[in-house]
Amino acid sequence: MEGNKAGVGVVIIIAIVVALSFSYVLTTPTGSQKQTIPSNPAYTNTTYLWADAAGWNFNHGVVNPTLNYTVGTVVTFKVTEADTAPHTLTINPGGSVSNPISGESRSGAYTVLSIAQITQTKGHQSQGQFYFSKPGVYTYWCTVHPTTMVGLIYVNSTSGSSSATVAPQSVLSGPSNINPNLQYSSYLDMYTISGTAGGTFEL
Amino acid sequence: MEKKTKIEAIFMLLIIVILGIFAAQQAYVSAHEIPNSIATQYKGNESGATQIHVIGAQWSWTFIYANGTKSVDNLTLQANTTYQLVVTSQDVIHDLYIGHIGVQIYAVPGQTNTLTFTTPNHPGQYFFECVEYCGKDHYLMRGIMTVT
Amino acid sequence: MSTLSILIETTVILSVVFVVLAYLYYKLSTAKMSLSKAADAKGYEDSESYVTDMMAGKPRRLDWSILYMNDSKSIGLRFIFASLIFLFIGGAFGVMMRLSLTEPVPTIIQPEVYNVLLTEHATIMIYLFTVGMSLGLGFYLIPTQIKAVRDNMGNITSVAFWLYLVGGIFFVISRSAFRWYLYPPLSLQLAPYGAGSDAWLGILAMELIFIGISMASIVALKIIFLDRSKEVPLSRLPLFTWSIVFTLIMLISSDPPIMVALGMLFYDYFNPVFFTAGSHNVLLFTDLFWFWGHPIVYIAILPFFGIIYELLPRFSGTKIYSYNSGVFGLGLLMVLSELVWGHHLQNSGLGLNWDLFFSIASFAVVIPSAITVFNWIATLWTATSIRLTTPMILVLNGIIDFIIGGITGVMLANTSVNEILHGTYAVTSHFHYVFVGISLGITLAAFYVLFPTFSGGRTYDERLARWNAYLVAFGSLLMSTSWAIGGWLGMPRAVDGYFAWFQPYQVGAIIGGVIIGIGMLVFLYNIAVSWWKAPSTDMDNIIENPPEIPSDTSGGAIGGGR
Repeated sequence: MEGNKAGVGVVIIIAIVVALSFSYVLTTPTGSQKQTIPSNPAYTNTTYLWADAAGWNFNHGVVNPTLNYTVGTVVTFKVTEADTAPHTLTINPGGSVSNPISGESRSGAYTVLSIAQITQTKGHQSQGQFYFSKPGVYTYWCTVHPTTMVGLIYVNSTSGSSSATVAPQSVLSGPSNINPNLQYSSYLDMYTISGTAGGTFEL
Repeated sequence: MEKKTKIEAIFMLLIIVILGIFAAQQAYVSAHEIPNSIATQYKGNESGATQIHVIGAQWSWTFIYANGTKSVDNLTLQANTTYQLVVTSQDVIHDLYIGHIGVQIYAVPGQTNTLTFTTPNHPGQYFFECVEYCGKDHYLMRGIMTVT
Repeated sequence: MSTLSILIETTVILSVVFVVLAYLYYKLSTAKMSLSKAADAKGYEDSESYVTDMMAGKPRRLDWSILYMNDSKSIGLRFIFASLIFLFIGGAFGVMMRLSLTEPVPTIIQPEVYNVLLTEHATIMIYLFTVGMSLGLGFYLIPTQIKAVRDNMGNITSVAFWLYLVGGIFFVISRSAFRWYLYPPLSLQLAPYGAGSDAWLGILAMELIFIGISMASIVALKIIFLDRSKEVPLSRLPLFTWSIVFTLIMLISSDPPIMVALGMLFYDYFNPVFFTAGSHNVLLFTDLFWFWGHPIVYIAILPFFGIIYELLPRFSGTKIYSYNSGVFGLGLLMVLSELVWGHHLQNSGLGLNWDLFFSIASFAVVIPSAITVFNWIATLWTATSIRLTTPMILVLNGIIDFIIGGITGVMLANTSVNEILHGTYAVTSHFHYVFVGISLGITLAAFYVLFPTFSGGRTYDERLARWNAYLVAFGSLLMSTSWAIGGWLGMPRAVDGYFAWFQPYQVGAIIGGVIIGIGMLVFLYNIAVSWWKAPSTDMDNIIENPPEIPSDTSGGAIGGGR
């Protein structure tokens, strides 16, 4: 008799639909990307950074230093937590990140060290690697404090290298053709955030 | 009048009287200067209030003090002083919330909201948070306010 | 996986889907045709009226024919069971959110996923579950209650249902993360750290849902006012029908602003002019939203007040204390719901005058709520014999939860207190008291009461049903009370991590949430097991076929009871 199975049918349909939508939503892409680090890089480098909400290397020399590498370098970043705030070390080869309206995707943005890795314990040092395969201007910043903790990386080409360069682009000024109406508040024009490197970054 | 109607009328009158008392009380508290009451966004710029500009961004709070120095996710204030917060946002709607001293004000892009409050008498540490959902790392938009 | 294999697999899957759809279409259209032929043979112009007449006085049970029959009862069953599915999806998301908060830092799920769960839990529960269940119970019960003489706009309601369903599916697929009130500019940010990469689909989905429920509401109002039997004048309309009338008026009068606002928001993806920071108009959307957003939370409870009004007399063996003040309370709730939207926007810079206006208007909402609760309590007070069956336990729990939720709610309306509690878990606890107690609890009560009709004369397992009721009631109380305490200490809501000193309150809420989840699993098990048994009773239910109530000559307060 069909009616006998109707209740079980309802329950089974509910279970299937719930399981499907559940697994679908739980597999939301979380934006983490994989980068292949060559085992035999041309150059290696180790860079020490202090993560402070007021700026990279705040109280430790030049604030938000401009970093210079040669193309083909695998850089080991050793980041020390200088306050107790959450930070990330994210590197982007020229792409825009912060156009709030256009929804410009941070394609190419790579988080070297996540909030979980840079534990919010003062003095804790964590390390991660990034491989600079193309010459150009990169930006590095903290996704939690993108206004203060942001700096430039210049990757110089070796002689004879003809691979495409990465176009310089500021983290905080995205392409304006998509949203001509976006203006930041006047307070951001009045004050420049301290310690930005060489006045490259305008707010 | 029937007995039922009487009971209901008395009940409704009682409720309206209680509500009226509450409404009058809160109108008075909100509109008047009460010593040691919680902060209010409705007071104007009182004489002697120190201005602090606050900028919300995804996902940090930047405080710009009167002398031009800045701090991020960290607010240091003098005890027993009156401050005026001038709050705005550079991307999406945020909401600055310092629960212990009753400070709560929206940070709206393209708009400034002001709020005047007096810090407590005794030094101490308080937390502040963003309480308007503002994207992925919304929960990290928080910090410590130190009263010295 | 190579491109070729993906293409082959997609082709095979699509072919299978199309074959299944074609078969379903064939089955449905032939069934529909035979229905029309039968209607023609009996001299009916439209098959819906034929179905209605054929089923007049007969209870409607659940079977596959609800998918193609367009009479009110079939569509009501469609809405009821679709929203039941959405209830379980939203509930699963809610429990998952709780489970991820065991530690102060994100544990099992990432913040992106948490935000999607947060958005979908709220949206599914409010727009799809409560509104769907309200419309479903309305379409299912009202034709009997008003002894409808005509039911000839079923095809429009059917379209409305499918729009609602497609909107719901789109919303789940969109994986958007703008919360249920989609404030711009956040909702205009797409991947990866804004509202989710397919937020535009979420906005389209909401628009579809609103179109669907508006159409269904208009048809339902037409049925109530124009197709009512002469035997049921407005002065004797059952209270459940009144509650549905007020709900539908609220729906129709308040959702044009949000539909317009959603259209403007969608346009902003292509040409951002309306709600961007540069337009200095960001808060305009919040006003347009809450003009709808506050009535929607009343829409989510008003029909369940009506169900309480129907169930209380049945289980306490007396009439409702005062029919007139019942109608008056529900109607006043409808009017006041349109005047209080600004209390969601306190602290955003509306200014003292408006904040005080909205605050005092919110105080005034206590008056109709108190009239309603007083009416229930007076009914219980004057009752001769109260039968504590499972639906009655759920009704009593709903009344208690509504009192707690209402009192914590009126606290939030105070402008000064609002500065401390706005945006904290105190708000979450307030509306979860009401929603779990009234919307979920009364849905379960109504489902248990209607179960013999749905299942064709089977009875639910009373012991399992009681476990379900007790678990949901206790879990809700534990969860919301933990939130209330944490919220008064300043625990912000909608976060994937928190300061470590809030952990005890979060853990309390996690335990409560899991208990509710277990309670709902008991409910599912109960349905499956009870439906498996042979029919043991008739298909009547006490809402549609009320037993004779001993005559109470005193009547209602002003014009006599019903």
